[in-house]
Amino acid sequence: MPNRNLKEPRLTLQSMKVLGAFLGNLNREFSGADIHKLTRIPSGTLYPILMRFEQFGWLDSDWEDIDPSEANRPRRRYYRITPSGLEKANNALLPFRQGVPA
Amino acid sequence: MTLSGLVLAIFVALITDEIFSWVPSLFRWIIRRNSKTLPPELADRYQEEWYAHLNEIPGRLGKLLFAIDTVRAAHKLAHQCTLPRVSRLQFLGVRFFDVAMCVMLLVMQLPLLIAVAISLFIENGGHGPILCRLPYVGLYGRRFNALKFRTFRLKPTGVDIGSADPRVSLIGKYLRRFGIDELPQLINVIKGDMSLVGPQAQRPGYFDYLQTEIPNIGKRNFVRPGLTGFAQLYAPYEGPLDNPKEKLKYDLYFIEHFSVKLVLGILYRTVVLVSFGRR
Repeated sequence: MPNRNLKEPRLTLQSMKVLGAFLGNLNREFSGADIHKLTRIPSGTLYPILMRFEQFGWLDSDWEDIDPSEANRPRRRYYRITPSGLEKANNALLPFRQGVPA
Repeated sequence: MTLSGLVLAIFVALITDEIFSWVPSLFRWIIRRNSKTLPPELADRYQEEWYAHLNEIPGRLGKLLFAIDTVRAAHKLAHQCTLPRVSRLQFLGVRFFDVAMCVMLLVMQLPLLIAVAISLFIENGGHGPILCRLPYVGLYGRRFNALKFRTFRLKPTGVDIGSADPRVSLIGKYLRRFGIDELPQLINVIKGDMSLVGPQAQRPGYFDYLQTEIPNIGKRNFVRPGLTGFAQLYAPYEGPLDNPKEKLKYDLYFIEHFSVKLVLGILYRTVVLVSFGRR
């Protein structure tokens, strides 16, 4: 849930990579492992970024809809980008898409 | 020779097999331990989420690196997600105590305050302000003007060179030595800008700088800044712990345990310190 007490996340290179991954395929949901595969950001940095975005309402997350005992593996947590996150991501990555130095 | 070699080989194979069958539970143990350091409402979520992530990493080395890196993740997450929760009851209790105490102190010190005001008035032949207002960062980052007795000369010259600051007036020197110049801040406490006990008030410019340097420094604004405080007592000015990062630890401890009882304790320690010196 978005939290109003927080400052807007700082857009570092790594957090932009995360946003870029979501922009790459808008209709897809990503697990933490998927994003790690796409961005190669180590988990120690990745999960804090994901949480910060989620706290700020840029991402939304939910459990995978499976029965862990039946599938014989733990449930994944899937992240997807929200409309406000999409807007922020588009603005933040605009300079890179146009090939103009920011 | 070959027989002992064979036995050794079988032995090594058994041992490595044993160890490798242990490894997955070792990874899970590391993750479980790290997720336990998170606040309870997040511990279960991240434990499961990280188990799932671990499950998708192919090699053992990758799994090991991932598991170890959750130390870092858990540490950062714990910092990000814990907004200080100050009990409203304690918050109101402290406010009530502040007002009652400050009204009492002001009445008790009225003769002293009047004497200081008159002497400052006379020092400059009836010119210039007696009080000065300095901007500070207060509760939830709001700005307020702290009242102090003016200790600078009317037209200050020279630069700050520590104890013998040439800008400080004669009376100002004594006011500073005994901390009397800070007394008008009791009015700030009654107004609700400050509290008797709390994190040290910061100047806006310096605080903006700290915010870029220390990620969680904003959390100290969840209570009112104080005349005295936990950090000021235990990480005193010019002591070995006198840096914003160390002080923040004390401030955050204070905020997490914010209560009338703690405030009374710190006030008591301050009174002991001021009366008998550091022990």
